[in-house]
Parts: sequence; C-alpha cells; structure tokens
Amino acid sequence: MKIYLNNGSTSFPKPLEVTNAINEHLQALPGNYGRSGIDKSKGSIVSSTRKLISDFFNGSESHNLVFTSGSTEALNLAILGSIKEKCHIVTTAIEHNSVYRPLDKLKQVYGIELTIVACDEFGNVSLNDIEKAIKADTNMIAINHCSNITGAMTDIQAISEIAERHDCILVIDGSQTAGVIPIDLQKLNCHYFAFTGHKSLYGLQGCGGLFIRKDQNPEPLKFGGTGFKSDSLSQPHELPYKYESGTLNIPGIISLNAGIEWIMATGIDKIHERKDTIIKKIVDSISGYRGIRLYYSSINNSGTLLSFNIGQLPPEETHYWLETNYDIIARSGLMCSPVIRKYIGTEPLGAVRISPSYFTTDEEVDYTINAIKAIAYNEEKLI
Amino acid sequence: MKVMYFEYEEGCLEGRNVHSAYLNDTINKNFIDYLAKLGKLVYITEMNKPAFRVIVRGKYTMKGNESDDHFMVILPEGDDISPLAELKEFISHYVG
Repeated sequence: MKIYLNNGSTSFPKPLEVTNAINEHLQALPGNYGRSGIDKSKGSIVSSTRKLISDFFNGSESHNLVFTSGSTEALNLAILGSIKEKCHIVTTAIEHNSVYRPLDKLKQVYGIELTIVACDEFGNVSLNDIEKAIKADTNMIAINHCSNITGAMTDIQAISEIAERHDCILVIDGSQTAGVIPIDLQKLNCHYFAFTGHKSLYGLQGCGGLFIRKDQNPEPLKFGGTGFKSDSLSQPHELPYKYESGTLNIPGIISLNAGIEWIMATGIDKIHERKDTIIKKIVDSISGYRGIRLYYSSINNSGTLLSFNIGQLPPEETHYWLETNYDIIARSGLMCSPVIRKYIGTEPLGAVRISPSYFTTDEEVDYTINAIKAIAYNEEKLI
Repeated sequence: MKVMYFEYEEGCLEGRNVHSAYLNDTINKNFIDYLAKLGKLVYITEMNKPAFRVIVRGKYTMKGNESDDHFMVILPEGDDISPLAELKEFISHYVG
C-alpha cells in the first residue's frame, strides 16, 4: 500500500461522499447544462453548485462565479481577459507558472512591463515591497495566496487594500488555500479569485473556477456553444454563458459539490488542524537531522506542505528513494514555481515536497519520518 | 533474466535521458552482483529494501531496489539510447 503525500498537487483519497456522488452520476442519465435531449434535472446541479461554492467563499453578493478547468484557465481568463494594452503589472517570486506564463504572453503581445517582487528565504513577500513596486501605470497585481513550495501565506486582505488605494486590478491565485482556510470574498473585495477543485476542495481533476467581481468584464478566451441564445452567431454577453462555452465538466462540478459539502460537514478548521499537526510533527522530527534543510517557517504558514532537501542529494534522488524504496509518493523539482528557488536557496533543481491529507494516519507520518531519516543517513551512498 | 521493455521516464526537469528497465523477474542480490560486473557497485542495506547503484563510468548509472521488477538507467544528456540495447543483451545472459 502506497502512502500518498502529494495532496499539494491533487488530493487523495477523496472523501467517500465524493466517490459516491460521481458513481451515482455516471450510472444515471447524462445531463448537459442548458441543452435539451438530456435529463433536465442534471442542469440544476450546476446552478446549485454555483450557489454552494459562492456561499462557501461568501462571494454571492460581490462576485460572479465562472466554472473553468482549474486555476490555470481561471488565471488565464483573469489576466489575459483584463489586460488589453501596454501597462505595468506587479507579481511576486512565489507564483506558479499559471501566473508567469500568461503574464509573459502579455509581454509578447502588448509589451507590458513586469515587476517580480522578491520574497525572503521562507517565501514571505513584504507588503511594503509590493506597494513600493507600484508605479503610475500599474494596472494589475497578480499574487499567490500561498506558495506551493514553502506554504508561506500572503496577507491578501492587506494587498487588497493596497490594490484599492492604487486603483489596480487584484488577481489572487487561491490554488493552495481554497478549502484550506475560510475565505471571505465580500470582505476581501478582490477583482478576481481563482481556485482549483481537485486539491483541497476534493473534486476531480479538471474542475475549478474564477470569481469575477461584479464590476469586472474580462474578454472571454473561448467562444462557442452555450445552450443559450443559440440563434445568435455572437457570443452571449450574459454571465455565466459568456465564459462557459462548450460542454461543462458536469462530473467535476458534481464532485466539487460533494467535496464542499463534505468540508462543511467535517469542518474546515478541523481538516486544517489535522494537516498542520502532521506538518509540525514532521518538522520537529527531521529538523536538524543529518544535513536536512527545511524550507519552512511556522510564521504565516498554511501548515499543509513541507519542502526539504537532504545534504547534497538532488531532490529527484530523494523522491526516487522515497517512492521506490518506501512506497511514499511525494513531489520533487521546481513544481512549476521557478522563481522562488533563487530566494529560498533551492537552485537549480528545487526541492522535495510532502503534503499530507486529512486522512493521513499517525502510522504513515511516523513511517515517513523514519524513511526521510534513513535516506539522510545513507545520503553519501545514494549520491 | 530478460528486459521486457524500457520505458522513458518523463520528469519535470527537462533534458534527462532516463529510462526504466522492466524485467521478467524480480531483482535479487545475485542479479545486482551480475550488474555490478559492468561497473562500480554501491549496495545499501540500511533502508526499507536493500538498494543499489551501479555506476558504469562514462556510460550510464543504474539504480534500483531488491524485490522490484524494474530499475532505472540514467544515460548521459542527449538522445543516444544505444547503451540500452547493450544492457539488454548483457542481462539476457544472466541465469539466476
């Protein structure tokens, strides 16, 4: 039996309620939101899930929710859909390529100027540095709520106030925090909040969404059938149709519905506390042991993941021995976040990351600690 | 022993010429000692399963674990995979 510690990539196992909901869906008549010739009751799951998610993030009054294939599509829509001319954009060193690459596209198309604000050795980004980076023509701040490498959290409420003061569009990548900590979009007042469904919301891969503040009107990135105003050859202007061309990921939406219901029934704080307890135990157990370097600070940390390296062992080697010798599935490398390594000292190859689940047992945690120590003990032979 | 097939290992870090060799039987110490005829063996017993690395200087490195039916072959950067055919041939002569 393998021990899965890669929940920062995608969560496993899913709650039984999620599996049951998907099974039930697959065995029933197919549904396709807004189209005829199918089981119409399936349409309501899309609307009810949209409402459930909006309420979960307290965004019903302030934001519209658009379903996407995940955070990457959501961030592309927010970034590429909002910027249509040369300007200055501020981002940070803790972003994922799902932010850097759309921004790079804007560089190529419009020649935007990009400032990447540095972080400290634990991935913390200074609010002061963000504000200092803003110029007269800064139009957008694109920021990660939580580093997928160090777990460092950014104070998005304070950044929202900075964005408001300087009249900048604020795009938040909530990939690592949606379902981990309570998020109040109405209070946050950001322009865009992107999330994925398959991590801490316990849905299937390929589902997610973008909250679009009601005063925002980004250009859609895809066009086509919506099952709405089909007599028109033009893309509808009405939401959510404007941004939801093509067949919706109904199984994904159903899984999101069941995942969020499970989080609400279990308690988001209880789920988070379990992960945080595991991370702290691993930190306490391996910190300082035979050349193990942790890229972690307990201050401003999500408590959901831990990155480390062992002596001179390349991260992929540690990953290899964890997986093949101990049946522990972790993640290693740059994890699609290439800039942070310069600041936290993981150049050039990155680090190994473990990210437990609410369902990870104490025995699995102890086994993992012993495995990491054994690899560290044998580091010289394994290089 | 036979190599059933080699599978290219596609990792996050690009530019690596890494393959897994899948065998028709599990790896034991005798087989590891046979592989060690090709180069320098590092044998590690203090892990969950005995593990090995065989470094064939200037050609490739093999690494894996006892009781598995596969091991990894790390070739130098580039497209040259001709050492895999030689390795397959070498392994075909092993009699456990």
